[in-house]
Amino acid sequence: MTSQPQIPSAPSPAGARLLAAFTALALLAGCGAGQLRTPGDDEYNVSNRRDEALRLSGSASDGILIFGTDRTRRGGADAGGGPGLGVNAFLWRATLDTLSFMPLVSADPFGGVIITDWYSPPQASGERFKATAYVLGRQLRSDGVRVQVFRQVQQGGQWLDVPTASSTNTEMEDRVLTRARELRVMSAGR
Amino acid sequence: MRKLLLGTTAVVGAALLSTGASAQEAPTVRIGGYMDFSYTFLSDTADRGTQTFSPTARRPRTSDFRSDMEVHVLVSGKTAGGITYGARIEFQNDNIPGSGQTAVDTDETWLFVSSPTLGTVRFGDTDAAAFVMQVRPPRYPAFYRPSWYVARPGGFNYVNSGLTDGSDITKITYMSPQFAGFDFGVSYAVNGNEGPRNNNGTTTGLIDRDRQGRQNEITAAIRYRGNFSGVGVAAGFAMTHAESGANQRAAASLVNAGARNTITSYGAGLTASFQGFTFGGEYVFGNYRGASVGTAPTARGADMSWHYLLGASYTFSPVTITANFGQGFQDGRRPTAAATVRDMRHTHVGVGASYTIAPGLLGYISYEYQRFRGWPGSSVGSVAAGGNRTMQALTVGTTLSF
Repeated sequence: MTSQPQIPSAPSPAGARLLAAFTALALLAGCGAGQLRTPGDDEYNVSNRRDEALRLSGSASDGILIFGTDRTRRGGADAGGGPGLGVNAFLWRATLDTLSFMPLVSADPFGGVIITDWYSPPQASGERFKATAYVLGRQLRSDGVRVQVFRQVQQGGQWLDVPTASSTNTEMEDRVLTRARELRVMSAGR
Repeated sequence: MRKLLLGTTAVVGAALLSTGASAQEAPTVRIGGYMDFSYTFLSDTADRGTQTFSPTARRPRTSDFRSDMEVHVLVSGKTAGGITYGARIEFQNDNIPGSGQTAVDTDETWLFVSSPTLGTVRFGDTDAAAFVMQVRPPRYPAFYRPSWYVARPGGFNYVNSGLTDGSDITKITYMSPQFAGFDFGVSYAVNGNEGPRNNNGTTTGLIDRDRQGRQNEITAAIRYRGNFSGVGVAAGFAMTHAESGANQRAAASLVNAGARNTITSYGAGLTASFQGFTFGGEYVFGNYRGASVGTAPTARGADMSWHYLLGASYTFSPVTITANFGQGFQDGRRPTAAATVRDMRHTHVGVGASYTIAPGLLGYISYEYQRFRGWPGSSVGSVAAGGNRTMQALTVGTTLSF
């Protein structure tokens, strides 16, 4: 005679404990709503080739709109702008972070242009700097940002333009790219 | 317990609807998808003998072209309360037998609601929480591993499989917001299989609630993602727990007559990224067997299955290079006593590169090596069940995604 196997109808005690633990985590998470962010779809593993290929190619296609009005301008993995941005969100944010030690005159998130005001370092009051940064597109690329630094020195009570070493511009661009890479890693982690 | 789960979901749903005012957005409908074309050259020790293809036995070719496509309908909108909602319906060419391999069916189909502060809930035929949130090393995209499709050996352990391997059985999935670098997810499926299945089922025919597949599947994952001095770090733990199909264990003649009542799998993973490089590894173990982790039961008394997978990738401008190495183990005992064979040990080595020709358009080339000591399936060609089998595949292809 063959014994009939037990036919379960509800999660086992192990499953119940697991569910309770995660429910508690959900409640804890809800207590700190001010510091929460909901991950985007591109921060989860996928099992379809479309999303795999889009991620690998650095594209963030939302698909072809066939009905409705496009209001999202969703910021995706390495490409596309964030909400309200016409340029790559990581490069834009990284440029702002990098130049944040200088006062800003203007920042155009659609054109991708950031212009700072003149800034004198505390340790060198006889000279001052101004920077203009251009975020060049929606792709997170090493050539996606250009920084131009201007320098003036004070002589006889007047500010005179002097050349800036070309390496200064390159170093600023490297700092922006490093910061953009950090932001990208923080948002993905896949 | 089920009431608790449903109640929790209801609370979350109510909370989702109580957030602050936000501009309402009418739904948009988009079309996405991909088209893939590849050529694969395959060397398989099983091909040294003839294989049975109805109506005759003959050797298979060593190479073939392969095309594949999916079309996705993407719906998205926003309520006045700031809740994003929508649906995803995926159509695929899934090599349906008897269709000339050109018929189209559905792949994933699911609804979602998402709150900026309370997380996202998905309802429908989609991946489990343990799958979508498992931290895994860099690894091949699906189109890098054509040996899976071209060799079609069936039933073997594959270390590239994530927990549940993207199984789309109908479920509810909750994914939390990220807080201090941490987020987590949990999913629940009542019964195996997906889609609307059988309408008006009868006592003598098929019904939806048939206990054929795994039941009460609970999966969960928690992960941390952060940055330490420019090094991106991700670490996570994921697990699955399900009961094996009771109707497949109900009599000695059935395929799972000697199976455990439960199917479990546990996985831990760690990755580190720095200046275009990403390194990572995962270790997975549990009471599961077959091609996919966490979907089929082991025999009673069988040792736990396990695998580890290491991966590295490097991206420089339009090129990404990925390499993997992994090994896996599954006990030779089978739920059906007569099918007991040697313990299976699987080794996987692969390297692939992709070149982005334009956004969404990729060219790729990959090499994959698979070795099985103790072939776990039935006899194939010159390889008997329990024998050794080695496969090598070289693939060149292109994919357009939109």
